[in-house]
Amino acid sequence: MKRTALLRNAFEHPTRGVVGLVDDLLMACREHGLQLDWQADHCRVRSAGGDWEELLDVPLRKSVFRAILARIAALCNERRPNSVSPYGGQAELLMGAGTNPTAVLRITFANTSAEQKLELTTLTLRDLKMPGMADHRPPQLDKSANGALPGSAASR
Amino acid sequence: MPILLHGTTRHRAERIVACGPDPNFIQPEGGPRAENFSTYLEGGPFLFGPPEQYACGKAGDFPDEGGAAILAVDVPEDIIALTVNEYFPLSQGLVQFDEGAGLAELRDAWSTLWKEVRSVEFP
Repeated sequence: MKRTALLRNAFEHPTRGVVGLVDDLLMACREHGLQLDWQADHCRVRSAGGDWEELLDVPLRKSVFRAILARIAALCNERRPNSVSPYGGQAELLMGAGTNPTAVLRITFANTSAEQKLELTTLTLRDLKMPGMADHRPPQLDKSANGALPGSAASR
Repeated sequence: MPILLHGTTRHRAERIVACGPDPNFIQPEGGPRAENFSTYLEGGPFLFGPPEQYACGKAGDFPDEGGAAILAVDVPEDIIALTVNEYFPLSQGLVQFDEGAGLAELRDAWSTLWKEVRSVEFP
């Protein structure tokens, strides 16, 4: 299924709230990067180097888009505390299950009242020469029954 | 009634206590109106970052607004229920008051609700 169709389906039919929607978004970006932003009351998406596509028929409130950005910030800080502000920044997330991460998502975002945008760039582990990368655990996309990730307050 | 938390600056928290959440609020530097009011259930979960983090971030961006603070407000469950939908289940801890989704009802009830402003220490 085309990636934007996957995103459209995730936005239109969320099954696990914004937390699940973000999981679906990150999975859709696993192999290729994506950019999303909020312009003129609509969410726009494009593949890396591609043209912007407006998801005009997706009834997504700005507050939902901002919650998506907030969730991504929380995931970044879960991996490395205080790596980003809830209002914007740049960080990396390891993608992959268990102890064998297969890729890294570089995340750049802004989440203020004036600007809402998200850029997800897929990197391979070979592309990175970051000290301590081996010490990072991959993101735990398995969730407890209440939607909380391991390590979050609700999972304690 | 559940207590909801909103992280912001002390000056903004005190203004919200006095006047209620203002969808027409505009940041000092200008820009679009606030449109909505985001809160957390006091008991969590905090899957979108803790309210203290938002408070500290806002206070860092606006250092002349009295420091970081948490506004705590006791909101009736029937008003909170207006915010629940497929994007914002209560199980994820975020209670999002939007226009058409509980914000007007919250503003109407505001003067009758228990509220307090709590200080936040920078980590």
